[in-house]
Amino acid sequence: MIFGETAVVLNLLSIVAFSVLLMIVVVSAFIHLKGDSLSRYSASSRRQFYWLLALSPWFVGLLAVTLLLFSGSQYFPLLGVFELLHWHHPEEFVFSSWHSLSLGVAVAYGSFLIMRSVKKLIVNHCRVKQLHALAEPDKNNFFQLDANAPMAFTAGYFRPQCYMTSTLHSQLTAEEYTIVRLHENEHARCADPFKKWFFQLLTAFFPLAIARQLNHAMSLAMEQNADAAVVRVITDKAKIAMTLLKVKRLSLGIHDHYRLEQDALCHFGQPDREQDTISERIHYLLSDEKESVLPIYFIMLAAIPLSLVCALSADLFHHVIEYSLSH
Amino acid sequence: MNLGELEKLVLNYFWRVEIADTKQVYAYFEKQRGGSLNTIQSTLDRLFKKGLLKRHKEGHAFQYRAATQRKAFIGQLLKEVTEDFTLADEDSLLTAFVSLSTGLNQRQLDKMEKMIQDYRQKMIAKDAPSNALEDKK
Repeated sequence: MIFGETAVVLNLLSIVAFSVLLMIVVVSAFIHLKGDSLSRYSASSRRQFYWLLALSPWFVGLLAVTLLLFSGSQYFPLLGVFELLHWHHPEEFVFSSWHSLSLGVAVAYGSFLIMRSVKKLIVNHCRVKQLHALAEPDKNNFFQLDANAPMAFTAGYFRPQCYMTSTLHSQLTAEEYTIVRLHENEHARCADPFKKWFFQLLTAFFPLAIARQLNHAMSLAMEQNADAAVVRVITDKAKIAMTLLKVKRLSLGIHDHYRLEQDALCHFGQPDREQDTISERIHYLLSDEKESVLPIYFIMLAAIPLSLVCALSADLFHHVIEYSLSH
Repeated sequence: MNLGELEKLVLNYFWRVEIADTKQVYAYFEKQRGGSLNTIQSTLDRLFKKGLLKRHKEGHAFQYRAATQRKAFIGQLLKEVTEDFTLADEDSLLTAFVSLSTGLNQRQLDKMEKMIQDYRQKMIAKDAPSNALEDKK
């Protein structure tokens, strides 16, 4: 058993863990029920919203703990509102309790997910570094790779660079090349590879199906954002859409080369989603409708009542568990 | 597979010269970046063990050559990078212009092309009256 400040910190951490879990359930339910209806909003707006969703368990968890901490303080302006929140043996932490067990499981699982993601980042970083060593920059600093697969992509986590294979370059007209270059430059400018990795790390705490849905949605929003950056320079949207389609057709030529890995992966509903990706990008590009914008700051305000609910639920959950264990 | 800086340089050398023995490689790199014969010897040995160089004995010396051509090697690296992207989730880390996913067939792409052409026609038709008005002016 631990007493004092260390016990307070450990108790707070167990409340954070509970709040994170609760928020994961709430966000998962929201994505499951309403995830598909978000497509009518602008790409940049959706992008912000997905970040908010992925960060919300941690944000709300910290806010819930802050509320609990201050609920007993005389300096807290809304003291009366938080009378419901009261601490149970905050300066006492028992290692053989359910608090300790749940905190232990949460820390172990969290550490495992973080280490797995960091390992993936390091392995991929090394491979991209190798690839980079064999690439030659052209006059636009677009790195050219001497390979048969028609590909263009942005890679690198800390200094992202744009790559295009010689096969793809040889099949594009000057205008199409510019479209691909502008698209990839936007990914590099926004540091999208690193952001994708970090987003994946955050969503790894969600159930697998929800994590995939969130990652797919974020990926689509990033691509649409990069397409929108091209439109700011090249106003012929049909030309951009045709370039997308042309590169897709070329990539289908190497389809068989990658088939083995793709088939061995058992992607849950992935083929349908991919169909949506390219067609959604084209539909979004060609759409004349005025884009709706999500009220992000208003949604952020929802974190306050949610934190209160989490803090109250932690309290309620505590009562339920202690009651059932002692009776 | 990890490649050191010198290993990459040596591999690039073999993609240019096709076949060489240790002394020839050393003679080339001595001028370029210095180093000892032993360093070159061990680099060639490592590349051979990694399967990136092939060798056969001629007299007392080994003759080395690249096991794979440049394009094939880069293709393999690209495949490894894409595997990292595709193993966890198809859309994960790669910010590719289009994904390598195979979820679309030719017919669906044709349908999309038709849609783009219709859009283009619509835009031309929309612009036509205003162009005519400008011509009149």
